[in-house]
Amino acid sequence: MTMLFKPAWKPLLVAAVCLFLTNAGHAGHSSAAQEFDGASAPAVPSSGPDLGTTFKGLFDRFRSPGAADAKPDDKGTAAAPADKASAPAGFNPMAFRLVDIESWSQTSNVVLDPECKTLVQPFGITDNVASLGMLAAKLKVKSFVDGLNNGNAHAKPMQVIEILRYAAKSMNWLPMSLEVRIGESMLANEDILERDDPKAFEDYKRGDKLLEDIVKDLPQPLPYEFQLKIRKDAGSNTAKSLPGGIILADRYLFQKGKKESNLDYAYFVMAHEISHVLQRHQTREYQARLVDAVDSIEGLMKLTDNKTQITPGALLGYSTALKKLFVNFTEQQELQADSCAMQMMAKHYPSHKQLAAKLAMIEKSMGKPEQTETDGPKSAQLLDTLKYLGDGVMERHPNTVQRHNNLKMLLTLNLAQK
Amino acid sequence: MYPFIYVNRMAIVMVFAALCCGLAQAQSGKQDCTLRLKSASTATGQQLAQDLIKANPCTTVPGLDVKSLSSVWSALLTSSSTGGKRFDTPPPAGTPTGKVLLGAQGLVFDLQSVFGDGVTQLQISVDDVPVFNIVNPKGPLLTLPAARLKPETVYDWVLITRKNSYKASFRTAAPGELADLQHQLDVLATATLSPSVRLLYTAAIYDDAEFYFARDQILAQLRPQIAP
Repeated sequence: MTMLFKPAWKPLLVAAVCLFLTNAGHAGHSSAAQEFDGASAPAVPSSGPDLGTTFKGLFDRFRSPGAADAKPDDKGTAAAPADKASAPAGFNPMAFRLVDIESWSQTSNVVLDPECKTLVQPFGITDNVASLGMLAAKLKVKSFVDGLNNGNAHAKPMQVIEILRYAAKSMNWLPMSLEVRIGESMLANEDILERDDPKAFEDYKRGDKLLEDIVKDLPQPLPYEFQLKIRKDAGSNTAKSLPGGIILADRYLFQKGKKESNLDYAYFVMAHEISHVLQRHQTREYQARLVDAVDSIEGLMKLTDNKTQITPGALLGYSTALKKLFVNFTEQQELQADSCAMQMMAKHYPSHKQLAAKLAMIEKSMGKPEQTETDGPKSAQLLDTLKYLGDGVMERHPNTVQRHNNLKMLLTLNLAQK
Repeated sequence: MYPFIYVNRMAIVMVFAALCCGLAQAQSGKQDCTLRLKSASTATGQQLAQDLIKANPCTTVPGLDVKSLSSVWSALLTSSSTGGKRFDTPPPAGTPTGKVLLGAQGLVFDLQSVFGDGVTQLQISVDDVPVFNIVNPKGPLLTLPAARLKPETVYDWVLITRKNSYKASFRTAAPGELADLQHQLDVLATATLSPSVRLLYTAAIYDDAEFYFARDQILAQLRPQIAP
């Protein structure tokens, strides 16, 4: 056990998990792929003894993703052939979306872009490779600057393996085809009204119209084909998204004769769920659990390997901190999805005044601000800590105060941008 | 004259026969009596599935949609849906949502699943006007008296605990919605079935009539029986 999770093995394990999942997701798909010229990727450092080989290996591995992973760029080049020599004339790898990762973290469970400046996260592996190049360059620069600041002008540049670790935590790497399959398997456990059920006909009609209204305002073409399913359980006025673009909605959301304010609320709820999919939140959560689990095990090993005797308190403290990370992560994802829904509404209602009025109605439907206890054990007492760890809650929604505050802040930003 | 009358009679007979035939076909098209059940993982679950298949749903409760029975069976096997990202925290199990039936005593909010978190308030309103406000309840079972609930009305509720807040709504049934339901329950009462199969049929009748909260209460009662 100790041998297996020795620090030297950890990054390799991360990479292995990544590659295994990529492989699993691509099984059974054709090899039609997007063209990507790794050498001409912006900001990929061309020097460095190990960067060349390792990134090349990574690029090669990613060069032939499954068709499901191919995200068409704005010019519709999704089905470009895998062979570089046969790339269509005028093909421009720069046309792919690049996400400039401005911050990174030791752990995966950190939500980047809380204001949702990027409505659609990059999906194609190709997109990620380009973004990876930018991240790698930044990390190398940062490492160099850190060295200078510490008075060490000859600081060793960051190792490629370390950069890959950061990348695994900052990017989407679970293949989309796998994501779609996960969503479909989860759907089998849902209690839904079938489309051919006469009781649900009108609800589907109204729900589909709303979904269409939201999707048409999003940057096209979208990598997902969203599909709506109406849940039997009604009355919670809510919705849920599954990986792969499946939205499950409470039928009360679209009930006939609803007031305008309720329809705006339905729009916001649906936009929020679409955002979870477009930000790949569920998938990022899986990534976080996979990648951070490796770190967590190493952390635990370090703790137990410590020459000083380990105390139960230290172990509990470590476990509590890990759990807090995940719980906080899900809260941040919810706030980000609210931010994205707000951005979508801002596109739908370009007038700030109108947007503010709509948002006020939505906030009212969300319920009055209620402050609830923040997550965590009530005290450092052993019993409280054990109770906290044992309650099984790994996901949590932000309370209404946090949600209201987030929306207010975004509305202010929206006004400032006008 | 005679041939004309004969032809006319024949035509009438043929039209009548065609109508009967069409009606019968339409009926047989509507009534698919084949139960398609997901396989259960436990021996008790498999036994219950076999018992359920033995009874013919079309004759046990005429008019019951067989799909409802299959759907209830699937819902029984999956106690709760996991995964996915929800807009809000889902209402706790045991709290009424959707279309509800009122018992003789009224409607029960079973807060056992969250009572340990410290329930501070349950507020129920109609069109933003509060009609019930229960603060710091002493026990987890709260009953809203039937006499104080109007039929065919949407009640919005907010439940606040120290850890979380939940909101949802329920709608009381209109008297007209209950006649068919009661008829099917009466027919079921005359059928010879094992207690568990009877409960499944009751759940299917509720499912068919869209009383999902009542259906789920029955399923919660049945689940321990098929648990490993």
